[in-house]
Amino acid sequence: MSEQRSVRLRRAAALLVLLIALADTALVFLGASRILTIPFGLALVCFLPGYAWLSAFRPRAPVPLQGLLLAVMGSLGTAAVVGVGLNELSSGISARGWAVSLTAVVIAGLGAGWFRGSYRVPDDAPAAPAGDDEAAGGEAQGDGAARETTAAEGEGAAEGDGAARETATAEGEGAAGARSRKEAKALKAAKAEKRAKAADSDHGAEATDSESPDPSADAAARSAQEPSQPGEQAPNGSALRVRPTSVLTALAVLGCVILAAVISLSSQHRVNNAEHFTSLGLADINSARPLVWVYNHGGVTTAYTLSVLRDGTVVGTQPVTVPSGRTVTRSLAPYLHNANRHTHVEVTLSVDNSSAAPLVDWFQAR
Amino acid sequence: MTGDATPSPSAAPNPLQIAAAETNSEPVASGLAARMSAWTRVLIIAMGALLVSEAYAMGREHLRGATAAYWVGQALILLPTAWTNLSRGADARSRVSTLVATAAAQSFLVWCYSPDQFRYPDELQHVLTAQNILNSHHLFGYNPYLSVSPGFPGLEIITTAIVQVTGLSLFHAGVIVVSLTHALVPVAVFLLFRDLTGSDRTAGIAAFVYSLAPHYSYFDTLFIYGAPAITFMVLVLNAAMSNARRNTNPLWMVVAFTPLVVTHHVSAVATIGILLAFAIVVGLSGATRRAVYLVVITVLMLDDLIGWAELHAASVFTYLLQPIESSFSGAFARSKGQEAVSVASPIPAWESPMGKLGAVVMLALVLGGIVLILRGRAGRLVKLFALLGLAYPVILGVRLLSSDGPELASRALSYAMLLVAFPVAIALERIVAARRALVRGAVATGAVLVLLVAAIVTGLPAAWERIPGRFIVASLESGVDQRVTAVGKWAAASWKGGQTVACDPSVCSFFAGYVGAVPFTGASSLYYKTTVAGLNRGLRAAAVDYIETDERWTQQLPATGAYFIPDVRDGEHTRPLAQSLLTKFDEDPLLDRVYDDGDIQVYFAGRTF
Repeated sequence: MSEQRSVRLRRAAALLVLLIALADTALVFLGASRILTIPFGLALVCFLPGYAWLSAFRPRAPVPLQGLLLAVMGSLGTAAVVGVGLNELSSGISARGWAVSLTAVVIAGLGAGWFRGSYRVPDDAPAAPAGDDEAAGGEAQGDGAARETTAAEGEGAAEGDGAARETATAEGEGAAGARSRKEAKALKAAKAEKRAKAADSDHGAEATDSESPDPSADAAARSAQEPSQPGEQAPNGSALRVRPTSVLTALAVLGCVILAAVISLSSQHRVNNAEHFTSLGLADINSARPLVWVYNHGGVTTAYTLSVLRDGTVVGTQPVTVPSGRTVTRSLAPYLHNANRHTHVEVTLSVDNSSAAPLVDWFQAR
Repeated sequence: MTGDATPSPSAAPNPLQIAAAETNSEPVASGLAARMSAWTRVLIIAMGALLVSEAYAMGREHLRGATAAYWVGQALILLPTAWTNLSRGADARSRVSTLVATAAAQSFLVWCYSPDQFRYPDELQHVLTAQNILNSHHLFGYNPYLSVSPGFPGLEIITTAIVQVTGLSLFHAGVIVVSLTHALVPVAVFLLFRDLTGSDRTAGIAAFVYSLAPHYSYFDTLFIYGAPAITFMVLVLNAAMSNARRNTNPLWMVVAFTPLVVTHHVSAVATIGILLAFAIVVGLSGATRRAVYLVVITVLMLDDLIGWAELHAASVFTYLLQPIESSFSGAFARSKGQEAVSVASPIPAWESPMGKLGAVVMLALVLGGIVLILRGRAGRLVKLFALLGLAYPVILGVRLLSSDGPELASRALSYAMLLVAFPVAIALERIVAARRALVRGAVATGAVLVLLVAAIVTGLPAAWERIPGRFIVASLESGVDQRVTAVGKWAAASWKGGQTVACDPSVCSFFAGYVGAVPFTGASSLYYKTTVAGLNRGLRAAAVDYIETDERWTQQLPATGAYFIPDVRDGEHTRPLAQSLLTKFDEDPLLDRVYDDGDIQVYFAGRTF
């Protein structure tokens, strides 16, 4: 990929990142629906801050997947540290605090990138050629060729690997002045030479390891066949061409995941509702207004009769209808006039005045 | 940026030459490995996950064949990863995608195991810390269930950030965080070893070997602070390796270490230990100046960790030292509870020998790999790094000698496997590259299968709850059913937190995790009192506020060998508890039964003291 094109893409990505972060802040302040806050919020916490800083310090991560790793873990690490900072504020850790602070981190990261030149085309960068896509493919080939793939591929490939990585490092830290542009240029030239070699060996792409006398040439051939790195652009811009079989396979993977999720949720739901039982409890027993707590688990809405006995005498009954999976509370206060610490209160619950349900007995302890 | 004369990457010796060029013969099915696309491999893994989730569903429905479906599903998840990474024909994309897909499938299956709520006790410890943050909007609150958790709130900060910004539930936000970080672990490990070796294949095998750590597939992707910490840890090591191999800025280590300090104490300590070992390796390899830099930075990181702990989690020092002391003070004295497991919940007879065989195979591969590397043409840095694989026999020693050996060893391997994986990867690579195809195939397949099966049987969930669906008293996740959940909800609605409670482990985890109650560690003696007077004396002495009973204790033996934590009769239970031990609670005039669902009762004991 040409430098100009790469920079254009980075600028567009930076703008998108900024817009998402600002939009999420607005959504949080407006109290928007979860349909919007979930995707935007997840992006803000789990991806954008790390991406912004990555674009500042390593605009060209040597491996795209490494970029993803650093962006996600950088974001989560940022959240952990920012949370400690928010804790020091009197308002503490809140949704608005998160939205503002993480957006500020994103803006700071993008700003750092701007000052470090991540979004500027270097003065010595060549102009974008007409066939930009080909250039992109060529670069991918070069990287693939330079990276050792198997144990048998020997030191030659390792050298290439080293050269490619040095380039990446130089690119990433170029603004920091770790390496001069001249050195980087020299390394690029070495890489281009490697690329040319890889292109030469294109015709041998069909060869297997056992057939190839030169492991490093074989690696180049293999890299010409398909990208060496996960997520890396395929040669000749083939990443832009999506193969129907890949789409079908990806959809099948998604189908498996959705099906497994549905199976798990439905089976757990069935188990959760398989047993019908009623819980009877007392809440706030040391307060002036203790409560009876009736929980109906599973099954259907049930009509109970709640009876309160005081020192063995029924002092009140009342019907209680509890929907399935819900809790209903009733105050015990009306039955506790002049009660003392020796008053014995029993609460029973029955269904249709027949089967006795759980019994709670309790001494008035106030 | 350090500036001593470290060999440039181009001159770095390739450790893989050890195994290289012995043969031109292709490994088994490498042709197919080269042709199969990454997506196809991921699809096989997804089908495995689907099958395991179906096995869980069958378990919940008590259908036969759930165990068989589970093992077939696990084979579909793990074998493509093993095969892809061992074969020479696979490209880097396939290697990493299978590793990531496997890790993602493991996280997904942890959710499938418990798709509606957190059930594992350790998860509930962190639920309380997260709830405290959501309620108070501030960190470092009080968590009686796990006192050091508020001092290392990285996981909870990230999770509550998602809860607050998105509106998701704590459960869903937590699952997203731990799944995301777990899925990225193999990427980080792959990059670490690729930096070391320069080989995608060795890096892939090493990342695969790392995934065989007992806790990797389950425990390390639960909602616990170790889950994100491990990924942060590997990033720190990545920065160190990158500095050693490519002369990158060593301060990236500090950047990666900062969230780790906030997140998990043990992972931070393990990181410092590994970095110091790595500094020694770098120093002995000749790069003395770089080693000194590494030591200085590591010491600064240690200072950072100690400073953080003193400020926010002073109890962590006791917390970390106490289990180590208790484990080694009783060296050679094994826990009684381990024998009781077989009585209460039989584990298939083959699993224990398989676990031991796995350890022997791993040990052989570690030693073999080290010998191969030392005899090969690798550089000094790589050779010395391989020697760190000797951590494995040390951990095996701990496992054998310590009274809490299996637990300590399993947890330690989550870190030590980063050192062990490299020599094992070289050994496996050598086996696959051996000349005689039949021997090669048999040995490689046998070793990998043993390692894979051993990783499952020595990990979690334990055999007695590997398939969910059966309620088991006083256990881990299988001890949580709707009755336990309901009593937890009632307590959350009725109590304000801080009560001292006596209960079985499952109910205690809900009381402590959702309410902030304090489980009484001397509870078991109260339950075994045979008289009401004795019970009241015990309750008074311990100032227990609530005591819980479950009728099902009189019907089942505990799977772990203990009804309570700790249980004074741990490992001695040969029949369920006598009914009389529970009826005494109803006979006690000083106890108020304040909760009842037919099985679980909770008594208020406030009038006893």
